[in-house]
Amino acid sequence: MTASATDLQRHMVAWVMGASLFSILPHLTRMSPALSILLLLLIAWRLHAGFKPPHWSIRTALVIGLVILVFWLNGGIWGRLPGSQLLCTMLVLKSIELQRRRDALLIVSLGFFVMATWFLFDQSMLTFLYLVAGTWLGLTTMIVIQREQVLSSDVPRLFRQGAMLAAPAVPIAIALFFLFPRLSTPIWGIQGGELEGRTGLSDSMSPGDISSLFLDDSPAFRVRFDGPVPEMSERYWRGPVLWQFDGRRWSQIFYGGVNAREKPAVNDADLRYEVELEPHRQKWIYALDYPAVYPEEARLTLDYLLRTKHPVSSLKRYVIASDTDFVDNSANSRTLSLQALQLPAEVAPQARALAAQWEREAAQSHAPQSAEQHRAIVNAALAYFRNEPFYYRLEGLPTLQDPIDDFLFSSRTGYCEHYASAFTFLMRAAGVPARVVTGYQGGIDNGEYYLIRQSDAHAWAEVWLPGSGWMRVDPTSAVAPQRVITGSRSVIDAPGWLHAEWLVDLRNRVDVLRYWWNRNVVSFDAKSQSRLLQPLGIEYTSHTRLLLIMLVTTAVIGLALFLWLRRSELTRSNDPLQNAWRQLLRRLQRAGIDCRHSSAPGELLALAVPALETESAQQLRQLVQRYRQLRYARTLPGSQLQQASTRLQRALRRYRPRPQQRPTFNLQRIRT
Amino acid sequence: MTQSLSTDHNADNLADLSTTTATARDDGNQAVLARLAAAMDQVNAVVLGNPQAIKLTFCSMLAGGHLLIEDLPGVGKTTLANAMAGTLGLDYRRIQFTSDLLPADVVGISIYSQNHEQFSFQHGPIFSQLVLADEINRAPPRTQSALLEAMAENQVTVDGQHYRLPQPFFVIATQNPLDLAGTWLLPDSQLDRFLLKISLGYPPRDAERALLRAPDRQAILGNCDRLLDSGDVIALRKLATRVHCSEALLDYIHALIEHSRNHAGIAIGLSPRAGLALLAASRAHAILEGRMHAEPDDVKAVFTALAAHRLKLLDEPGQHSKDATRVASELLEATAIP
Repeated sequence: MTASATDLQRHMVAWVMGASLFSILPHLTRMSPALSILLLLLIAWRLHAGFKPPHWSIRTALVIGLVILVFWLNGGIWGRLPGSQLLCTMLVLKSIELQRRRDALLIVSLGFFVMATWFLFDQSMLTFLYLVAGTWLGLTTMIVIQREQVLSSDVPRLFRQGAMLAAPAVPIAIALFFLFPRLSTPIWGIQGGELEGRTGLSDSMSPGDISSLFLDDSPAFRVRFDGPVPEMSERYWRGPVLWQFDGRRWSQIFYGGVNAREKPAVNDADLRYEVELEPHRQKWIYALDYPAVYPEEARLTLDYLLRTKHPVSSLKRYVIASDTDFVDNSANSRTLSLQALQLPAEVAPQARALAAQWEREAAQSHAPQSAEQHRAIVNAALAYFRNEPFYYRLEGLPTLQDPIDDFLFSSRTGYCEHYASAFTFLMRAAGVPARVVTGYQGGIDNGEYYLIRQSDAHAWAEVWLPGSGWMRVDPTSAVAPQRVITGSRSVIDAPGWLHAEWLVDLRNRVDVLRYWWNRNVVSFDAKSQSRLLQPLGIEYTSHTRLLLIMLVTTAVIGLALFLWLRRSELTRSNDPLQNAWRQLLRRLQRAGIDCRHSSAPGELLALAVPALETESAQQLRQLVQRYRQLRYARTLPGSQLQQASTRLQRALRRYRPRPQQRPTFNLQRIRT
Repeated sequence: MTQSLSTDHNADNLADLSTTTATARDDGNQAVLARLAAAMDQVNAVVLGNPQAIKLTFCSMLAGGHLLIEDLPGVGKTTLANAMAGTLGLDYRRIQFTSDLLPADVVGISIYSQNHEQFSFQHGPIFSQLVLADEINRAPPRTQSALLEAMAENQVTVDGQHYRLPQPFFVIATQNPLDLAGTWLLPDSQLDRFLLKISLGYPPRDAERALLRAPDRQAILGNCDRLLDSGDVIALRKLATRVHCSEALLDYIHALIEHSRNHAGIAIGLSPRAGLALLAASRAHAILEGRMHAEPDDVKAVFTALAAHRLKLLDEPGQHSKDATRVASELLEATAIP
């Protein structure tokens, strides 16, 4: 391909590159900075360079070099991440040899494809809107490419035309949305899952883990209760249960993976709710205490966590029924009891001493290893937290040498994880089996559902009492009861404007939209599809049958669109002034004036003026006069004519006829 | 619509034209245009209640074409022609066509002169600036042809000698559609020689009352002032050829012609010559409207008169005239204006 004359103009390059940048922008934010900066530089170069493409050797070197870079950055070429990066790279590379109209069209079309690949990563409403905007921009760019000259005053009209181009696709898109055969599992769900950053709670807890989520206002999950809603202070959404402590970090143990021996009875379940879990890329889902009914793909472990086979990598909806009164392991096995008393050697001697003192005190009035003794120890610990000057705070947390002793005896300032950790340690040191539970607490009422945000992440403790099993104890509530009753935000002031009340309120409102989108669009699956088709008498829909229905429907819509477009092709012309004039004629027709496309300007006035209000008629007279002058008289030279035409088009399109109200009209008719 | 063609309006329009349009600004044109408006008013005063027909008559004259008036006896065909003759200061002759009229009676004859011992050409009545060919369809085809040939060529050939007709040369022919016995209907190819064909129809109620009340038409005709002379007519014709026609207008004319060729009810559509005629007639009409540019309104105003006698319809020729007029209006209705 040697350099040949271009049929493009400079302003078109800017449009094409703008559309390309728009389409790869979401991908740019996700690739390695080196690659995205390189691509941006290439785009900047393209904007300034002329139309003569660089020598073929340079182009070849760029292609090979960038492909290798993508390969090297991702450690492979398969998968959605390297695939989409490769597409973006190719799009930018193609723009280097942007020379002819054909190339520009190709680049814009490829841009549509690149935008569509963004759905592999994110299906939120924001993405959808972004892609709609991108499609709009792309189509408008395609129109711009076909025009010799674009005045800035034309731009709004060009965008309108772009929208008109996209409009016929809407019915087809809707039909495809409802009828396209759904796969029960997303094809891309697992492959990229490991590459994504995880959000929310992890499977272990160190100091600072949960407090780091405090600033994260993104939704963790949403819950819709079917029936009674528990009090906020009762809404503990259980997540990972942590048994093993190494002096700093709490983590899960092997037994946590074992299936539960006893399960809550379905009949006893008094809370029913539906959870919509944002993808957190972990292998568990959240529920209130003791789920009796839970989705098939999850299993209930010994510590009553709902584990899933695969990481939750896309929005997940499931129904849970919980039994709040279930007795959790009234008889603990020896192995688990030992695990629940495990303590790392040689940490926190002061805390051990304190715990030993409580144990002795409790033993004086209660039988050793009895439930009463355990209760006394728990109460002693809670009283200690309540009475000593402990603070529930986020800022200025000191880094602790010994996370237990330093916290309990010197800093006395911490977040829920500090309290849960220290409390559990004290319990174990006093001989009471205990474990840490992480999860979420509370959640706000956001209209028809409850919204639980990452900032609602929480950690608490569970202690085992002989005969009554595992009981939840939240040491944080002893220090800051408000945390549990009204939520994390009410206790600690959120820093800065970012968490201003109105902004949080706005975010909650936006979340209602997001919830609606998730319910109705993203989670529209095979099941909802067959439910939709049932009233039409299609009971069972195989994929082939669905495909057939889809093809027939789109063909029918396509045909209807074709006929409609052909009709408007007959009545529309390429001349914008004429189209504006015809729009005026249509408006007058709608106002009850019997004018047609075959009505000459003079005739039109004779028809319309008597039927219009004086002022409206006067305006029409002026418009028609201008139209006649511009269209039929010998008036202005070239560019001036163009401008006058644009002005007149606008005036014609803006005109709204006001018909005269004539009460005497009927009277006259009767007389004759 | 007819109201806008009323007499005082013409004067306004023409006055506008003389002040606003660059090409018509010079004093000579202004004066001529004023006299044209006065002339139209005068004809309108004689032939009551038909300003449209009078406009088309003037339009035909300005476009340099000839006019055929086809209508029943007694509706004012001859009166119109006489009023034109009285108003235009043109040398006027009337030829009453009969079944025994010979070509020589129209164009003239070479007679051997004893005195000069040579043939000398005796000019026939056609050597006039304004000719009224009354009841043209009663003459035999040979005679009709002689007239039409003269109209087409602006000259007469007798015994190999060409004789130029005086300028301006304007023929108003009339024919009677009812009285078909012993008449020769003009062949289609000959009809093409007439730029416009109009019919007058019965006058509207008010005009007819005025007609009954007023003194004898002949007396009124006798009082006609000669408002335009031959120089004026030539100047106006020249002015009409300079009327601006925009691309959009040409598109429209073209669309009309094309449509006439594709119309289901039409055997033969409009010829390229008809297209040129339409353009010329539209230009002349624009002058009458006081404009130096033609508009679709002009085209529409002249189209039926111009096209009806040129269209050959598919059905029987008995109701030829009536149907062609309707088809022409259909064409106008169906053609969008660019």
